[in-house]
Amino acid sequence: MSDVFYAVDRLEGQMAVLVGDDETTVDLPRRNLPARVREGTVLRVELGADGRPDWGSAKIDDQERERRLKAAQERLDRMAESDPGGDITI
Amino acid sequence: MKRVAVLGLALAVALTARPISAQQLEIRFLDVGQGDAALVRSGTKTLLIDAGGSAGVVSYLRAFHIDTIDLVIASHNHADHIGGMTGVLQSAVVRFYMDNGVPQTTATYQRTIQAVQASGAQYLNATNRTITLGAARLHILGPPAGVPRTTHDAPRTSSQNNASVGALIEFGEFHALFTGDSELLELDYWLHNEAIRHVHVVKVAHHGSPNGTSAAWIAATHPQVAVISVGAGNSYGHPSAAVIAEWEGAGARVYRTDRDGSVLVLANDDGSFVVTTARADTGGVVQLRPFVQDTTVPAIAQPVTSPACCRICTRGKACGNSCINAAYQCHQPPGCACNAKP
Repeated sequence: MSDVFYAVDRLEGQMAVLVGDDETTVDLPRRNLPARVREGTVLRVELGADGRPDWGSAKIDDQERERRLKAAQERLDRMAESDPGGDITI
Repeated sequence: MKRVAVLGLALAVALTARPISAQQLEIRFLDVGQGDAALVRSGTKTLLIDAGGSAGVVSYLRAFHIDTIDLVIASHNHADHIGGMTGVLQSAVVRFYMDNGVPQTTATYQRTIQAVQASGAQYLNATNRTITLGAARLHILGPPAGVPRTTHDAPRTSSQNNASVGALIEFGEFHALFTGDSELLELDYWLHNEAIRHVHVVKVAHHGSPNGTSAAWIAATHPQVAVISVGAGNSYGHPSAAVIAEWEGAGARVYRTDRDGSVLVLANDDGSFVVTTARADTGGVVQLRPFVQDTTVPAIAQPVTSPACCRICTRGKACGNSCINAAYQCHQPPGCACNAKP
C-alpha cells in the first residue's frame, strides 16, 4: 500500500481544502481529518485498494511540512536578494 | 456544454478585447470560477493580480494576445489565487513577480515558486512601495509584520489570508483597491496604519466571506463599485448575502463574477469610469450590459440619453466601445460608446 501527500491549502469554515502532490484539489469536512489539522499541515495518506485516498488513514507529517517550508523559504530568500528595493518604475 | 463555455469565452473576448485608449485604465476581473484573477492595463503596461485556481487564466491571456506581463502580483499563496500561475509563467514573459513572501506547503505553491525562479522574473518583496506602471501608480500595502508565518502558531486565522498583498491603483483621480483574501486582522491593521481612502472600485476581500468585510472597512473605502470574484456553487458559502447587503447598503453597486461573468472597468484619469460585464447565456451568446456608474464626476454624470450607450464621450469622440481623440481616425466597428450632445 503506497502513501501520498496532501497539504492543507486553507480552511474555509468547516471545510478543509487539500491539495495533493499531483495538484488535485479536494474539499473535505474538517471532522474527517485529524483534529490538529491547520492551514499548511501536510498529511500522509494511504491509498485504498481502489487507488483512492483513505482519509481515515491520514496522519500529520510535521517533518515533511518543515522540509517544504524550509526549502521554499531558502528559495524565496535567494530570489529576494536581487530586489532593488524602494519605489520602482516598470 | 464545454463547447458552449469555450464559445462564450471567445465571444466575450471578441466583444471586449478591443484596444483601449492610451488615456484609459482597464481593469478586468476575470471569471475564473472560484478564485481571483484580475488583469490591469495602463497604456502598454500589463499587470496581473492573481491567477485563479486553474490554467483558465491562460486562455484569457491568449485571447487578449498578451505575451508579456510587466508585473504579476500573487496576493497570497492559496491555490485559488496561484493555481494558474505556473501556466502564466510558462505562456508569457513575466518581468516582475511579487508575492507575500509567506511560503506554503502545497505542491501548487512549490511548483509556482520554482516556475518563478526558472522564468527569470525579478522577484519583488511586498513592502510598502510605489510602483509606476505606465500612467498608473501602484501603492503596495504590505502585510502586517506581526502575522504568524504559519497557522500552527495562530490556528484561528489564516496566515496566508492575513498576509495578503494589498494594492491601491491610482490613475489620475481614479482609484481601485485590491486586498486579496485579507481577513479582519489585516484590514484593521491597514485601517490603523495606512491612509485608506475612498476609492471608486473595491475588490471585496475573501470572495465575499464575512471575515473579509467590516463596517469600518466599508466606511473607509466607500466605493461606488464592489466586485466579488467567486465561483458558482462553491462549497464555502461565498459570497455571504449579509456581506453583499452591507456593501449595497453603503451605496456600492455589487458585481460578482459567478453571475456577471468577467467584469470590465474602463477608467479615465478624471475619475470617471464605466463598468461592463460579459456573460454567456445558454445559447453561448454574450451580452454586454452597459452601465454608467459614477455619478459624482461631471464628465459622465449627465443623463444617459440612450440605454445603448455604455460610454458618453465628452472629450474626443466615440469609437467602438470607447472614446478616442477627436483628431484620430476610428478603426473600430460601431460599438456602445456615444458622443455627448453639444
